[in-house]
Amino acid sequence: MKKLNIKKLLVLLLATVVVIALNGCSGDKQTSEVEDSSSSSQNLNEPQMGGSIVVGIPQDIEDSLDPHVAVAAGTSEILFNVYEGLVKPDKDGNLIDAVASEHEIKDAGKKYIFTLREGIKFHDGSLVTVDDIIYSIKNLADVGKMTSVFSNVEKVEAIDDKTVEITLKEADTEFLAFLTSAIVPKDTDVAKNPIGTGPYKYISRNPGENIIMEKFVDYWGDEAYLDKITYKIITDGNVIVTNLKSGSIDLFQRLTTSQSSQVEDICDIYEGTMNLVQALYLNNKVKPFDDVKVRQALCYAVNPQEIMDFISDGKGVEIGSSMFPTFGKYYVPELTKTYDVNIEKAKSLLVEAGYPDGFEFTITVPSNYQPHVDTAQVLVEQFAKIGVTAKIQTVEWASWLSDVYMARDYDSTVIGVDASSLTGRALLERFLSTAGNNFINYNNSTYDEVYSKIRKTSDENEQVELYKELQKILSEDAANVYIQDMANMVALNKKYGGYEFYPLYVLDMSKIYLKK
Amino acid sequence: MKYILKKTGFLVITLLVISFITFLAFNIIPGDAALSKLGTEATVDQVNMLREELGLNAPFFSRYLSWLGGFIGGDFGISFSYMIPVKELISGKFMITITMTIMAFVFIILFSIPIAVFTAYKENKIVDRVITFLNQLFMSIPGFFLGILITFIFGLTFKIFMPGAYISMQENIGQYFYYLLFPSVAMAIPKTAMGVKILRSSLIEEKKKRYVRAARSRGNSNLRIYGVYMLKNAVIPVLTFWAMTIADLIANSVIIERVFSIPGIGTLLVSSIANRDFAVVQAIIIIIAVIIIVMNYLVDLLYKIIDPRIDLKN
Repeated sequence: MKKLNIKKLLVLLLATVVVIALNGCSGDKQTSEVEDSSSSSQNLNEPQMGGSIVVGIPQDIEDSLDPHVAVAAGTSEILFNVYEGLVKPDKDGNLIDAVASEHEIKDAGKKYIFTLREGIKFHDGSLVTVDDIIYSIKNLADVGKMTSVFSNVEKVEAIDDKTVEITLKEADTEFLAFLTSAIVPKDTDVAKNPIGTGPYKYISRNPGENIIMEKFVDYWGDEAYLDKITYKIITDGNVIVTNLKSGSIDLFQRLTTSQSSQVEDICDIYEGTMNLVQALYLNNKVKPFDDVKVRQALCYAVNPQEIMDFISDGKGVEIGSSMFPTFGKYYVPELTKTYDVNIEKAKSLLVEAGYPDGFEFTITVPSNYQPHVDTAQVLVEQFAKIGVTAKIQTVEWASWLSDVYMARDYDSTVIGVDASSLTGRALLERFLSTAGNNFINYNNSTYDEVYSKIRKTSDENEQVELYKELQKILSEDAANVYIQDMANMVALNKKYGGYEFYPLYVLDMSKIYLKK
Repeated sequence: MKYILKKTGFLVITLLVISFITFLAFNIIPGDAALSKLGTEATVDQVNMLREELGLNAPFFSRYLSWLGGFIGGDFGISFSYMIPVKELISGKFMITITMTIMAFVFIILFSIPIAVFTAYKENKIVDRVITFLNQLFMSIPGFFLGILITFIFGLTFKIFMPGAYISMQENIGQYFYYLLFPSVAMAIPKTAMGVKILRSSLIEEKKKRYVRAARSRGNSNLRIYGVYMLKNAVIPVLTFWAMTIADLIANSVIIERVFSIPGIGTLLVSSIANRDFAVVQAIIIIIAVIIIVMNYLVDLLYKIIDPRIDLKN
């Protein structure tokens, strides 16, 4: 029997590699040829109807498909396309009519009257009725995260088969913003069978893999462009970049600047903000943070721009209180100036508070949010300049929730807080001494007093002024060390256009289109 | 018969201990499924209400025993994250991971046996030295890093597959198998290299034995001597390695799944731990444990078949 001929084998191997290489290269040429011919006719980047898209998401929907029960911001972002409320937000933060075709507010915010939009259908083809609206409002008072808001509803009744009237126990001129909550079909288990009125309808999901939606052709409003959306779950940061490059995903939000810079040749990069109040949140009940001078000293030591330079190439927006700029009318830009970096002032405040040699404390950060971990590291350096030693403790998200957020067993933490509704109270209510989610243990009777005035007035301008005053209190009292609203880098494959930023955690897929 | 009973009994005891330790761990670490589900909307009242609903307030042993009772009866419980039966959730994902494991294993066997035989035959010649060197190289590269290299070279540069474009068996069976080839090969290469090393040295040991010379003097061809007589004796040490490899491929699939964006059992295990989705974690751990233990038993039996002189009781 012949001996194996090594030389022949090696030649064969070499030939195979060359063939594969040539194949790969010629494949490359083919695609670039196609691109060239299409780009020459593509001078307007006009939207076309149809097509599909794959949207990458970092986490699966693990709470619920029922919009009344879902709590995770990522879930709400997806469900925004499936469900609608009586009103819905537009990209500028205004409330536009959705399931209702018009609305009226009477009795200084005590009565809300809605006219059901004529002919509006659910995804299963059935017409929306006033019974569905009544059922939804009542359900919101029973389950989910809005129960405290909707428990203020005294009664909700149908005036006729096109009109619904909601009467509140206590007048609340901000109540309209909460009516972005979904209207669902009466007595349907939407967690298992998601049916809404939105521009896209839910088709299916594969746990841990994807969620699929299709255009709803009988949508009452402007028809969406894309026919099919596949949300694909990609957890690893490097894999996100690889997949954007390979084209297996077309859109990914909240990228770091290093990730977005790697895909600039294939994707358009849109820059916005995350709509978060990122701060070093201080446990006001724990020494030495119970002393306002200590808190202020920390504020004087921190340079938010330096943090942004380190972690996101300088991108991001500095904030001075618990509010971010996209909240328009409520935002007070001057508050970023309350604590310009002043090392000497910081040190003297520490001496006054009784800590001439500084002190030690722990910054607890959730390990799954790299930007917060990175921020903490810069903070440690900045605090060292005033003689304060900060130690970082990274914990798993579930541990952060249970130990920091619920049990409030921590010194300080770096986290981003979002607004769940387009109201002034969304970011400010939690600092009431009696608030259930007051995880920083803030206790300021002046703050509580000013807040109670808001509920007593129905004049919107007065309310806005009072909300601004609350922000001022938080800033001057150094409730927390405020840092930034972080940069949100969105990568969208150049084949597509139409991405819009909203002031809330929302991804409006109906505006996204394939370019011609 | 007694042998089988003894082994089965041992298996059951091991599984009981594993399931109890897992349960204990879940109760010691901070956080639970209710808190995970509610996230930052959690208030003390809401968390307690959800805990009642999910049955998390019942005492420690009663929860464990009710899970155990259900499990033995075939009811693996409900996933808190997805609100569907655990069986439904994990069966599809096990399929994916097992497909990759089988593909990887086929690659391993197909390549390591001929390469080992060839290099043992050409012992110390140049070609053997080169292959052994390459072998050492591939043995030391972790599977996931090879995965990243393969993604970059064959995915992004040569574009023979699209990284991230995993497609399920139901959607397109051809594409499904094609895509899974790449992670399977990535996982298989380091194990192939290791297997070659073990089998090669085992064969070299056999070469020295008298029966080889005797067989050659009887006129047997080299192929027959190496491929049949020597291999049969040399394969025993590498069998254990291969059994461990199968277990290792399944248990550590999460890393390669991450690199190739594959929704397999490893990814589900990791996310379920993060969400404190107890029933899912338990079911996966038990099944992996069963696979590992059964694989080892099979190897014992295989030893006996290959060499009847081996006394299993020892």
